[in-house]
Amino acid sequence: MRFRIKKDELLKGLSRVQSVADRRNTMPVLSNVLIQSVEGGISITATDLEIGMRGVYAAEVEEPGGITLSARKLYEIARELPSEDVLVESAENNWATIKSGSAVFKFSGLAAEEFPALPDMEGAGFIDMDAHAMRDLIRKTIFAAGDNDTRYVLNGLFMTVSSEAGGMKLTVVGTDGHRLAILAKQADGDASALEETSAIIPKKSAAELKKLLDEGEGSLKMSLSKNHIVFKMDSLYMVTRLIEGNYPNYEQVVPADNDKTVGVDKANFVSALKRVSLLSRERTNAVKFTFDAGKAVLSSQNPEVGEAREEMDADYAGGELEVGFNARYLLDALSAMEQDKVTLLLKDTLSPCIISPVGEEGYRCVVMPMRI
Amino acid sequence: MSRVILHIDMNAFFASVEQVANPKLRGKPIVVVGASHRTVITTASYEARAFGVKTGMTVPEAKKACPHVILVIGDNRKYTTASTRIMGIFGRYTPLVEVFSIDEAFLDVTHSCLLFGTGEEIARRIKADIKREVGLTCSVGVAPNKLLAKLASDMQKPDGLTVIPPERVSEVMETLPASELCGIGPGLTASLAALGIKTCGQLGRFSASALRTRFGIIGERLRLMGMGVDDSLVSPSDEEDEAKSVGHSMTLTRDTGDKDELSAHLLHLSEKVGRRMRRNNYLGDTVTLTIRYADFRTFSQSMRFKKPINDGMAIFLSAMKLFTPLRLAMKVRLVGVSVSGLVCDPMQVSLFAEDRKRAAVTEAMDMVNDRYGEFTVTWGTLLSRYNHKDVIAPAWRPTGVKRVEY
Repeated sequence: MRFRIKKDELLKGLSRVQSVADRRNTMPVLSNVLIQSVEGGISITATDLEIGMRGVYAAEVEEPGGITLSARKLYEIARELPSEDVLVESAENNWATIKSGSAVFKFSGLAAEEFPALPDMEGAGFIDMDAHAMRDLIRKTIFAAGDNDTRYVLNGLFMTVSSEAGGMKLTVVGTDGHRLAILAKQADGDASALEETSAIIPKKSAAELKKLLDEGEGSLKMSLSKNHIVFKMDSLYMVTRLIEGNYPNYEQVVPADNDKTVGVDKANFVSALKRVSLLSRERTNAVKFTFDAGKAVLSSQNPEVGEAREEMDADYAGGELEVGFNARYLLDALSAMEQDKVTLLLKDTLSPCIISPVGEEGYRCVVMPMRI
Repeated sequence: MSRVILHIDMNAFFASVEQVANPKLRGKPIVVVGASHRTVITTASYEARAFGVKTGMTVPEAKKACPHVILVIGDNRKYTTASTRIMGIFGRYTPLVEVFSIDEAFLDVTHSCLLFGTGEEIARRIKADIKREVGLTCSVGVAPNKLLAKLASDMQKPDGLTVIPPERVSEVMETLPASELCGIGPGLTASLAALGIKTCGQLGRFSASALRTRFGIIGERLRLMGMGVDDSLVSPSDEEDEAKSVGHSMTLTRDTGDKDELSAHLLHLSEKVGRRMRRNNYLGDTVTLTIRYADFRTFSQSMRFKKPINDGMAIFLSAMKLFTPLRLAMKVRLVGVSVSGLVCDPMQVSLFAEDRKRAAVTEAMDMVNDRYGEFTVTWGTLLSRYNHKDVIAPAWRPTGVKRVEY
């Protein structure tokens, strides 16, 4: 094949798939990108067999065909090309020549036929999704999803979609077994065309989707079947294999009887937490909280280093309550919240704490305490 | 200022403990053996030694030397308990106690002399305390350093007390065969003899550069040893570096290629590892499996996990991930499990009830086993087909992560 493409266009296409192309080298062709001629330009495809991503980019195809080339090497080359105009040409033995300005690169690839085909989901029922809502759902829950060796279901985000009068309701949950984040949102659209109404989306796929959504507002279409979820955005197509299994009953772990309410200023709380956790026991981030009328005292202790203590104002009227938390878990939750004020709902020393931003319905983070 | 170092060596430790525990064994030739039939004599009582029975002999060899010798199957719990009590006695006289093995320790009593009298007086008091409270005898060496203290404790056994005062060091070293020094084994003795060095006196006077040429960096140290000089400090075990891993291994009573049997051993080892990690508040994320074949070929495989663990079942399941795909080349002689990548357990409570339940069960098991002995409550697999006696590891220590309960 032979095509001419603008450097920026090529870079855009390659940078999107850098983290999808598999570097573990289990199958050499997976660390390559597949470049094929299509109507109006070329397509760039990468997959690690879990996620597949394909985008179409404007190019002048002079000779149709396809080739696969190292995703990483090609990206490194594209970044350094001296001129805006790039010519890519493949020869018979899967060698490619890239010319730009006076620079010429030659390197070998693999045959396009060796590249595994992405699952064909064109026939699935696609619905229109609110891209902005989707991005928010991922951003506010992904930090809580786990890296678990035995409970694979926790390594993903659990999404449910249900039809509601005048639209649909989307709920996304992430948990690693120590903390949990739930966000439920109303969105425009009609969910009735979906084959399935819930899915466990691998954390990496959710992160990749969020990156694409971060690029800007566009229309987003989604289809959900038993094994795959597919997103389409203009010329981009992303398909992900879902995590199989039953997601734990998350509603059960959100306590309903927490009766001690603490209101705090988020910015103050975050900076106090960051300071006090500096002297937490090695790598535990343990911070002890003592709530008492009108205040919260944060303290930490590391027998080998020293201790820290800070008192801050808190909207609290209950009796004295002591509880320990991993500061990292609280900071992750707080930094996903946009509001200035947050509410902590507590019960006792060993019960979970619910954190929610004041003014955003449907968003809750649950953090389990540490025994200090 | 000259230091005052004690080396205390319990006499025929395991055998003496058995004789204290069972009056019928007192004054009789007994040997302590392991439970398995691969076992050799771990310790012989002085009565048995009189017949020529030695540590390391096989049971038939011992019986040949002393036909009426009494075999006692070792009970590690008795020995670790006695050892812990003895080490406790040392602590009354100085905090500087270096536990060298289950029945040996170095004490630096330099500064304790102000409180308790001379090194010799302290040695007498310790001997009396041990005799009175534990019923055992020991040999003590008192000297200005560890090398000489160890040498001195060896000079009179059993129930000895030997003092090498600083002013007598050169006199003692002059005629002492170099092979008597701790650290100079048969190989080194032969090499020294080739240079015409037989006694410590000769070694101490030998040219340092010639020793360096022949033995490399240890040459200089050898010369100092010959002079009776040793600057090494008595280092209490609690000042040791942080543990890097927690592990257990066992030599099987007989070689086997039966994977079910081996996995039962792995469960047993994993439980022991988990137990010791929890007692010391460790979690670890890397599990290593060690296999030694009948021909002594040994290999290890490790796997790193995302989540650090310390419960025996989780360690076992991780070890099984390594063990299950293995194709054993031949029968196995030894298996081992260890966990590294240790971090301090943050005591994080789990969100899900089933995880909390499992943690509570583990905690309850630990409490029962703390009180009634290891493996009082354990997995059914280990009860039905399992009867393995442990051997006390050389690294056993009375406190800290190296303390293993038997």
